[in-house]
Amino acid sequence: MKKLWKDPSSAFCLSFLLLITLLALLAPLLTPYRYDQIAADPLLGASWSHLFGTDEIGRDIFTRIVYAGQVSLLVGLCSTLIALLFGVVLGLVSGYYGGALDALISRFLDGLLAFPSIILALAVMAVLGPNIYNAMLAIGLVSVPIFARITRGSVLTMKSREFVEASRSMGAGDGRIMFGVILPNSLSPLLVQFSLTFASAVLIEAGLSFLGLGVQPPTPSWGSMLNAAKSYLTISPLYSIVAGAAVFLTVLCLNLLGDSLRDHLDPRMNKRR
Amino acid sequence: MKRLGFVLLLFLMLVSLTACGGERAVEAGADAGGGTLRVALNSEPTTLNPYIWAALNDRNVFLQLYNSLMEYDPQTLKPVPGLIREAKASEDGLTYTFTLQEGVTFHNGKPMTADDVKASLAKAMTPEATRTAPLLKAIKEVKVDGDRQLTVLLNNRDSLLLDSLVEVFVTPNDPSIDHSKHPVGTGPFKLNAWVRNEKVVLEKNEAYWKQGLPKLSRLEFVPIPDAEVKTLQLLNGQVDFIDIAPITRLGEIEKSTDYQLARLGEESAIQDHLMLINNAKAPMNDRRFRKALDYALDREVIKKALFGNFVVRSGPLPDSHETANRDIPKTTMDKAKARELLKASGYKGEPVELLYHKIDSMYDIVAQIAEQSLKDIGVNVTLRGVEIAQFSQLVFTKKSYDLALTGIVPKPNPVDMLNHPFGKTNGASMQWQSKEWAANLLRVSQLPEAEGRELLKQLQSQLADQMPGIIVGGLIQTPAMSRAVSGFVPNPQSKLYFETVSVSKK
Repeated sequence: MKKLWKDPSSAFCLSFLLLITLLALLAPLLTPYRYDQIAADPLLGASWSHLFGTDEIGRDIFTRIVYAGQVSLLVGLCSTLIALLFGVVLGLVSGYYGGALDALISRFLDGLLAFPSIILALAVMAVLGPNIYNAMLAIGLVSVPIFARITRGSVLTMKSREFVEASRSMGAGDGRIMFGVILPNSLSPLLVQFSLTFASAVLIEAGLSFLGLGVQPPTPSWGSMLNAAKSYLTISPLYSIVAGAAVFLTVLCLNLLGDSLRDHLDPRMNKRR
Repeated sequence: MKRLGFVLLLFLMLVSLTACGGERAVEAGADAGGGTLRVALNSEPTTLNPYIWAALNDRNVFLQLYNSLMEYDPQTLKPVPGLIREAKASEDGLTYTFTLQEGVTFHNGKPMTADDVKASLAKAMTPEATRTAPLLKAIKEVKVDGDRQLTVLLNNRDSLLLDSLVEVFVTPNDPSIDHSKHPVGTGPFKLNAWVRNEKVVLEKNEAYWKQGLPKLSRLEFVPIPDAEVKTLQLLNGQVDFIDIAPITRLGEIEKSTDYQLARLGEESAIQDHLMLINNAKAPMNDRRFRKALDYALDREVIKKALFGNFVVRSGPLPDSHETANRDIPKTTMDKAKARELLKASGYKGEPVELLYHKIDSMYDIVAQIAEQSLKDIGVNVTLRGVEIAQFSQLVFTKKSYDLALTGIVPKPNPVDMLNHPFGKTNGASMQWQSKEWAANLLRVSQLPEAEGRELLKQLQSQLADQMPGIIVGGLIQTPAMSRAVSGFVPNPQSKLYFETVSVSKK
């Protein structure tokens, strides 16, 4: 962690993500308005009472941006956790037992990977219906294969290593070996992937909401705000800029952070330095 | 050699493709001075038959091909002569004598006679003609009294007969003509070509009976389903006219020096944003609850958010309408009163869902403001936006909803302006026990004028008292066009008439 703070790019990303998280968590304390409150005339410019102006029906854009942060970060976090949970279990089982089970799970994952993630998420949302929980589920589902692949790869390289054999000879069961021995030693690539998947989850959520399939009004989401704002681009450009910048900077910072994490956690990269 | 052969083959393929396209190509219409107007519609018409049609796009295209027996004056909303030049009613209101316009010919060159009008009325009265048959129920018999004279005998008095004739278009008495694809009318334009999914091309009817009209030599209807794409095509000069400018682009178009809006005056706005209320379900079955919703609505905010394309009113008739009941106090937002009524209704925070369709961003905006207004007085409301097909199924077929927002387009007569929101399909979906009210409404047109007017006022009072649904406000849809276009008059029913329109040369 200390190494991350020393790196200027990682430090900037961490600071920005901390700021966004704090803004999202403290939203009710930071703004006098509710996210659905019509506080003034529509499409007002920036002022002290409305830092980023007002939206198409007169709601404070700053308030909606910070509340939308709650939605985006929550959807990003939960869907990444869903993907991590299912992906790790599938990857461990597949890699550890091998054989027909491995082939079956791997082909299933290949099937999921065959679809572009946004298209698969769109299809899932179309079937389940648009709301925040289904968005988490859909985004989580499309991210399962990558976690499963990474875990399976780690299991395959580790399952014949000495420390795994030692555990087995000491009488450890399959479950203990998978979750207590192999998994803790595979955390580094998973941690890096967590950060990258988090970024892509935020982006997919924004995409779904932009298309009207994510979070439903009046609950704000960066994607739905961007969709509304695009129609007023010439009248109120700040509206689009703010909504776009929120998605852009968050995703950029998560990606850069993922890269930094990989650089710091990968022993080969450390050697090169 | 092989390469040369390939190039020759490619050339031949291109030539044959071009030749195939030539069959479908629009006949080169001579743009003889009047100019060409390119109009963007949401979709292409499904039919050009003026008796059996479904979508507004059908109507907006065939309006150029046919004339109706009567027309509406867009200012006064009263029926004025169309193909009927003069209409005289007998003292008892049971006999009408019509004199037709002189010198009217169909696109096929045949002069229009009273016999054609009789046949057209018969077609408009068949059960398949669902839009006109119910309006013409009072007609007992139509007699031809000469080339230009007709007598219509009624079963009962019908003060709305002339209004109903606005919906009746005249075609030749020739059953061999298929008007759905090869229309023959008396209108200002005739069909030149219909290239499926591409465009419908109309050309000037040189023998049009209205002198000096139409001004255009050619009219093209282009189907563009997406509102944003339609607007961009207007702004890029690919089309000259769009039927409805998106609310989100109104400000931009209004400020532009190259484009203009044809905004309807508030006094002529007869279309409504309607909040349907499921009267059969609690808590909506209490009229105090329904009235509380009415008092809660912030109509001024809706008007601002819709860039003025909204009329602040709570009654179904425009305030300036002669039959509007002015004794009914206008509902202005009063949150304290709304909370009082809500409390009196015994409402205890039961969840209520406000359903709306996403057919236009305008409905999104109205729904979000309405939801916020209801939340402000303590209604536990959630918003649900669905596609139009799902909306129709939930509201009209299953009647499975609490509150639902939609737009309605009544005819410009007071009976339909009440019947459309609270009778017919909408009334049924609201499950309002209104048999007596509905029967009285149908009686209005059968009464002498003064009595009918009095009854209309009583019916409006009953509506204000019972509040089965809420008129959120007047709905205005605004066409947009290039500044080169002149002579277009916006219509209260969003009908597009182009006979007086011209396009100046750039």
